[in-house]
Amino acid sequence: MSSKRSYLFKVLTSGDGGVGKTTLLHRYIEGKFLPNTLMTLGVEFFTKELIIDDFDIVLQLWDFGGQSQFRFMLERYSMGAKGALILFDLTRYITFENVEEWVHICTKHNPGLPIILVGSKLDLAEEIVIKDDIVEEVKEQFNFLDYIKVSSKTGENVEEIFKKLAKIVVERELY
Amino acid sequence: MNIWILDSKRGVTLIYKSFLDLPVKDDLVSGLLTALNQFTLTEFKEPIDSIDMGGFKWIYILDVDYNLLFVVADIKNTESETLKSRLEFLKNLFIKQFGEDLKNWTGDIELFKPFGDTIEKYYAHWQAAENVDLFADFFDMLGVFQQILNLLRGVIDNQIDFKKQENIIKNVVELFYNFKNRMDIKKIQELSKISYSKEAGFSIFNINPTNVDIQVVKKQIMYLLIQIIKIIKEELGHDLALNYFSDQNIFNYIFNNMPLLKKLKLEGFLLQLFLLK
Repeated sequence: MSSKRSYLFKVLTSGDGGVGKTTLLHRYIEGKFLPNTLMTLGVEFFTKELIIDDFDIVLQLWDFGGQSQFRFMLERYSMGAKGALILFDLTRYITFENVEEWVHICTKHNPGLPIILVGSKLDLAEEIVIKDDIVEEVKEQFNFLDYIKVSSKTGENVEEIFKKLAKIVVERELY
Repeated sequence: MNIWILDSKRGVTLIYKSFLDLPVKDDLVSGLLTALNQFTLTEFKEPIDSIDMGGFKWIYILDVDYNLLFVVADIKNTESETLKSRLEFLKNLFIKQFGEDLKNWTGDIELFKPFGDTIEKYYAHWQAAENVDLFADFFDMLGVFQQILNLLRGVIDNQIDFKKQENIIKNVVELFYNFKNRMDIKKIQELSKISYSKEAGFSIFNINPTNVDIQVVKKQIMYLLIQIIKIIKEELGHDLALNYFSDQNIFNYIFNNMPLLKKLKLEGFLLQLFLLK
């Protein structure tokens, strides 16, 4: 990388177990679709370098374990985050209902944290049960920056989510 | 970690799961735990929250609706908050699973036996996640140091007259050159990822914590920071340097991130580093 400055931003990836957080991160970082990732024990870490507006950006991506037995650990890990993704599975309503809990976990130490709400498994078109209008209500309620539907299987919108979040973080932190 | 789920009225052990060796018999401990709880309820009108006893930390949760006493014991350096959260999680799970049965319970403890496997399963997950804390703190520490170094770069690049700027850059380049050529540093490959150049600035974020002793990395980055500040203060003088640090929002950064810095035990180091002569 040769542009003028390097910045490191901590970004949280959160949401219920099985919504596809780790799969999304593998798709984004390695360009691969891994349909059967192991349960994340606590938290895992990924990094991704990108250039935004002539800044070298390193996203330090914290992949939160979604299972309930790890939840009490996560509020502490959210400290210092500059952005977050909250994922739910478009085919499982319960994962959408739990979005509020994830908002609390991500924002407890970071009020005003920029968050993008992500509906995952867009490729399972036949099984989608969560309609856009109810998601829009939740988006308004929690003041999310955006709502984007993705498929880690096809790669649809994967790059866009991270680029969008990184751009917003850069605008907030560096200008 | 050892866990008891007890009938708080009768002192009966519903479940006991042991992952640590205790120097006394389990049934004696169960009796003592219930008696202690009864004593504090009677004398102090409130249940025990936690105690240190026999070299262990003991955390209690009393559920008055179901007359259940949940107790966890672990070595003293395990954080109380962590133990309490684990116990709370197991309590909720137990009540969800056996709440109805408990209403008409006749005293058969066999009913609760499968919960022993549940405790084992979650304990294994928590054990596996224990190293995560170490890595999490490391990644946070890298983020803090990288941000501080970026702000220091701002001090060097933006506000100093040309001659002083050249001197500082020359000395910092020399510092990093000497650092990388030290025999002890050469032996640790990850430390070679720490770099500085006039064009690209400071970079420390590529260090992989799984390949290196985290404490060694922390010590070396702190050493470099101390030296950089020394170079800047020697060139500018202490008071002027403080002004430049302030103009670059270094103190704002420290105060705005105080909870994180406290968690990482870096707040004292950074304040001393910037403020003291």
